[in-house]
Order: sequence, then structure tokens, then C-alpha cells
Amino acid sequence: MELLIQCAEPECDVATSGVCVNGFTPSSTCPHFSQITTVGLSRDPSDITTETKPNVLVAPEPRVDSSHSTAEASVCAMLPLYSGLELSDEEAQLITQNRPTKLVVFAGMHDCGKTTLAAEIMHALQAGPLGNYLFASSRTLVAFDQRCYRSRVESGNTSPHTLRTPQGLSSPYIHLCLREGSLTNQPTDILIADLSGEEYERACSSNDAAGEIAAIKRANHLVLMFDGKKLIEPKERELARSRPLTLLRRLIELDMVGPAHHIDIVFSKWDEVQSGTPEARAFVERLMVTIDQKFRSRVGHLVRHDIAARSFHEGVPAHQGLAELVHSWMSSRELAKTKVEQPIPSSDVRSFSQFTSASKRKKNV
Amino acid sequence: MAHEFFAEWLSKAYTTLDDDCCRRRVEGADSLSATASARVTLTLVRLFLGKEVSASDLRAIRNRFQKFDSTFPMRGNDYEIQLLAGAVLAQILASERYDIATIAAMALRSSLGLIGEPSGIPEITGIVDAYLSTRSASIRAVKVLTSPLIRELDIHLRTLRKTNKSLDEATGSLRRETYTAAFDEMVEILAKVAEQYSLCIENDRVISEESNIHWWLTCESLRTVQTDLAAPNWLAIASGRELADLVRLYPGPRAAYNTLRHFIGRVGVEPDEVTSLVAAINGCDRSWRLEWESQWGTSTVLDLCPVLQGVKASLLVDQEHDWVPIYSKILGFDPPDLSTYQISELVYNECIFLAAFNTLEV
Repeated sequence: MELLIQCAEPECDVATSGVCVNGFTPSSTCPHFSQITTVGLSRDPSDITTETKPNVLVAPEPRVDSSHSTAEASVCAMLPLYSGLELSDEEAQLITQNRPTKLVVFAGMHDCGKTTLAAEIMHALQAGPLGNYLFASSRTLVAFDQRCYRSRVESGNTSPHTLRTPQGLSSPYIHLCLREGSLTNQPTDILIADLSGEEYERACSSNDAAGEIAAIKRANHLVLMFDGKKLIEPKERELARSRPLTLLRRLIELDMVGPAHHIDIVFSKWDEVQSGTPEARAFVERLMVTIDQKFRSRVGHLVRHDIAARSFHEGVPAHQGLAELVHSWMSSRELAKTKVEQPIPSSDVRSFSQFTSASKRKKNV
Repeated sequence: MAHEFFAEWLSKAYTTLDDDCCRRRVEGADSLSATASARVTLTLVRLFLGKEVSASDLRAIRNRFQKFDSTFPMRGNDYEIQLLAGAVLAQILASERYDIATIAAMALRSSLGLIGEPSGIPEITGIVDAYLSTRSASIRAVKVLTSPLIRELDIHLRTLRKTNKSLDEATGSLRRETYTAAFDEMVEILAKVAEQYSLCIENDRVISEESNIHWWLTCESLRTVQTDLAAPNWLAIASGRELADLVRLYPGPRAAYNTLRHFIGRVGVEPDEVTSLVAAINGCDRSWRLEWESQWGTSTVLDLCPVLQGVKASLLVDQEHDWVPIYSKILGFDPPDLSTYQISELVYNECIFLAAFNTLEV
């Protein structure tokens, strides 16, 4: 592919001399100047007869350097390259503005398994359907792979490991698109907000910090994670129990979480809980009862998930609970923030109109 | 004024919705809801339900929002447009543009009955139900007529006659003044009489609607079909159609759904007995379907009436079940299994929507 220069001005010999007859510098700014791209033309100027193409010369392939024109620079600026990394707010919005998108926020303290959960969902999908759902696409494959790499044999680690999520709120979203195995429905886009545990620890102790996590307010699902490994350790269990509860209470009090939210209570590292003492398991059950009593009536929908994304204990399979968790995201319906009250007929209504609707409409057939 | 949940709804198209963007969208929604014609309103319904709309209609709606925000995207924001359409519809339902609001609400109820709630605004069903219920009760409220007005008019007429007789030519100017005052009062009274007369007509419509429905309910027979009423398939489709035919004011009476259920139960069919939409449509005689379809088959809003589309599709083929793939292709889902009552309710909703639409000049 070669670039040919030509000029519409008959007297101009920019093609041979490179100098514009109208004095434009660079010559490309002249309104009569043009470049055309040709395929298969020889680089040898002798191949082109001056009689037929007097103002044409074969230019070398343009090199990309810092001196390219403003117009070229603006074209480059308009073509965002697909990085495969986490999406910023603006990038995520390109998806949310176009299609209904489920926003799932992983919330939990440092090292409770948020990133591992995301990584293992991708690992499970690489092996085949996850429950009834197939991998359809992802705009953040590189971001997923960064989360997965340390858990693979190729990384050289002797045991699976997950990189810590960097602090900050600028590019928190990883994207996943899933489709039902029957392929009857359209694929569903899911954005997962995977923030660092430190952000949530700050949110536990500060309303301002909690308010900064804007994704929670918009979330369809809040996945509140309790670290199973810490819950069975007598010295650590109190903090592991109380901090996520404090976080949830604060979010509800700030009106960031409410009747329109689905809350997935996740006990991570469930293989550790299973191998723990009966007393430790009872502690977890009591915790769930507390959550039920305190929060079920204050949120839209609350479901428990026992998850062993990676299992280090026999008897508990890896990826346990992942399919159910993903199913809860995929199958959930949007919840109304407030129930619209049906009016009570006033006293001037005719008797016939006072026999109100016995409607039992079937939704979502 | 924008609906109180406007920002909540719009935020589903964003990860973070900034105040300025929200304000500009509110301005666009305000402008659209204040001026949307019935045709534009039905385009908004289609957009909200994710149905196909013409490129020019879609562009016109996008342009309206772009007028208030030059950065509003003209493509690539289909979901945002869907949410905005829903929000504008909610705003119309809260306004006093009753004709347009009624059409919007009836179109939504007609469509939502079978396809379910669209993504983004789960409150819409409640909003539609509340609007229709309130509006139905309000147009059927007992109208208080003030009959003494006629007596007042009579008194003024007598006064006028008496004045005319008692005054002679010399006091003509005084007579003119007296006449003018008396005429002014009479005009006022006549306006009130006209108002009362229109209330009488409205009352008459309501009473005739009620009595017709009561007769229909009492007689336990279908008006357009001579058949065994205990055949649930006829009943599911025909009862909805017949009740809709008896409605004189839109939206229909609040008690319509109870009436339907009661009617189905009275003729010996269990209202909640599950049948299929295919069986219900095929159960109706073909010539009856043809006659019915000739009344609405060319309507431009048939895409918002999923059961009637099934009836229309059933007439495109000769064999009973051959229309099912056509239906599935048009609507994107197979004809579902529903109870007799549910089918009758859907048919009723669709029929009164079509009837109300026909009263408008779109």
C-alpha cells in the first residue's frame, strides 16, 4: 500500500518538488492538495508516465511519529484501543447506556476473597457452562486473566494465589456477558465492581467514605462477603463478623441500599468452615440468623450463599456455590423501590365502581 | 414535573449519573411530556417496551433530548432512551392531559399483560394501575345535578315579560338596561343549564353502561355466540370481547375484572383453570374470528395487542396449529398457557384499548 500525492492546481509541481505553488507549509494544508492510497503500485517512479499522471509521485509509507498533523492526531484520539483491562465509569457507561446491565458489587473486607471469586467464576466458565449459563463475551478479559494468573501452575506458585486489588475507585468494573444454555434469551451483561477491601474498611468507619462508593447505589446485587476462614478462628471471628454487618447497616442508613437491592450474603472459603469445629459452624449459623433478623425487612431480597471458590479440603469441591450465585444474578428481577399505593375509591364513586379489581395477572409469561 | 423516581430510573443507564446530566434529561422529559401527541405517546410506549419504532420517530425523540443537551448521543444509548421513554410516560400519567394519559395507560396495560414488565422501571405496572383506577372512578363519579336552575330561569323569563309590559316607550333606555341585565343573567343560567345537561348525558352513559353490563352478567349468555357457555375456550376469548363492547367510557369500570371473573364462574367454568392461548383461539369458530378481525385487523396499534395478534395470525393459515410459529416469530415468545380468566382479561384490555384509540384522531 502506497501514498500518492497530487494537486488540483495545474501549475503546481508539489508531486515532484514537494513545494506548494500557493506557498502552504506544510504542503498538505493546501486546499488543492490530496493524498490517495493505492494498492499494488510499484515504488519505482519510472513505472508512472508523466503524461498520464503529471502531479503524482509515490510517497514512502508514512511513519507514525510525534510530528504527524493535528487532523491525524484527532483521528487517533477518536479510536480507543481495546485494552481488556478494567473499565472506567465512562467505559462502563457505553455498555449500560446501550443494554440493560446488571451491576454486581463485591463488598467485603481485605482478603475475604472478592477477587478470587471473580477469578474463579471465569475459571469455571473456561471449563464449560456454569450451571445453566455459558460465557458469551467479556470486554475485560485481560483484567480477568490478571486475577487468574497467580492461581495457575504457569505462574510458578506452589499454591493458588490472588493478586491484591489496588486501592482507588477510578476503574473498578470488570465485564462479563453470559447467556442461558438454551440460547433462547438474549445474553445478559454483568458489570462486577471489584474494589479493594481497604475501601470498604474505610467505609465501615466513615459515612463520607461509604458515600464515595457510588456503584453501590446503582447496584442490582450487593454481594456482601464474610471471610469463612476468619469466622472459624476464635481470635478473628468477631471482627470478621462485625465489620461487614457495620458496613451493611451504614449503607442502609445512608439510603445507599434499600428495597430495590438484592443482597447476596456470601460465606467465602466455605471449605474451611466445613472442616471447622461444630462450634465454629454454629457461630456462622447464628450470624446468618442475626442478618436475617436485622436486615431482611430493610432490603429488597436477601439470599445466603456458601461458596468455596477454591477448595483446599477434600469433600468440598472447588467452585462450590458459584453456579447458584451466578444464577441469582441472572434470574433476579428488578425490584421496585417503593410499592405504588392503589387509591381507595372516594365516597362519591358509584356502587358498581366500588367492586374493585380481582385481577391476577400473570407476569413475565 | 419529572416523576419522583426519575433520577433513580435514569441512573440504571449509568454507573454514576451526574446532576447536570440528570437536569438536562429532566428538561427534555418535561418538554416531551407536555407536548407529546397520541402518536408520539404510542411511540414512547413502543420504545419503552423494546418494540420496533421507525427511524424517523426515534430520531425525533432523540432530537428532543438533544435540544436540552447537545452531547446527547444519537446512537449507542438504546437502553437510556428506553428508560427515558418510560419516565416520560410516568410523567404523562401524572399530568392532567387525560386523553393522552388514558391512551398511554391503556396501551401499557394491554401490552404488559402478556409480555411482562420491561427492564428498568419495575414501578410502571403499579403506576398504570393506579392511574386507570383513579381515572375510571373519577369519570364515573356520581354527578350532582342542581334542578332548581330551571326554576330560576323561569323566574327570570317571567320578570323579563313583566318588565316589557310595564315600561312605556318614554323609558326605552331604562328598558334596554333592564333587558341587558336580565339577558346577562339568563346567559349565565343557560350556561349552567348546558353544563347540567352534559352531566345528564354523562350520567346516562354511565347508567346505560352499568345496566348493559348487569344484563349481560344476569343473563349468563354471550351476545355474539350461540354456543355452550361451559366451553371454556369460547368463553375465554368471547367474554373479554363482549365486556369491552359494553364499555362506554374509557378507561373501563374498575369493577370490570371482577365482573369478568364472576361471569366466567357463573356459567360453570373455573376461572383459574389453566388452558392455553392456542386452544382458546382455536376454540373460537373461524367465521366468528374472521368477522371480529374485520373490525380491527388493519389497526396501526395491533403490535400492542398480543392476543389479538394471535387471532390475526390464526386466520393466516388453514390448519389449526400452523399459526403458532408465525406468532412466535412476531412476538418473540411462544403463546403461553394461561387461565380462562387471564385470557379473558387480556382480551378485554386489548379491546378497550383499541376502542379508545379509535375515538382519538391521531
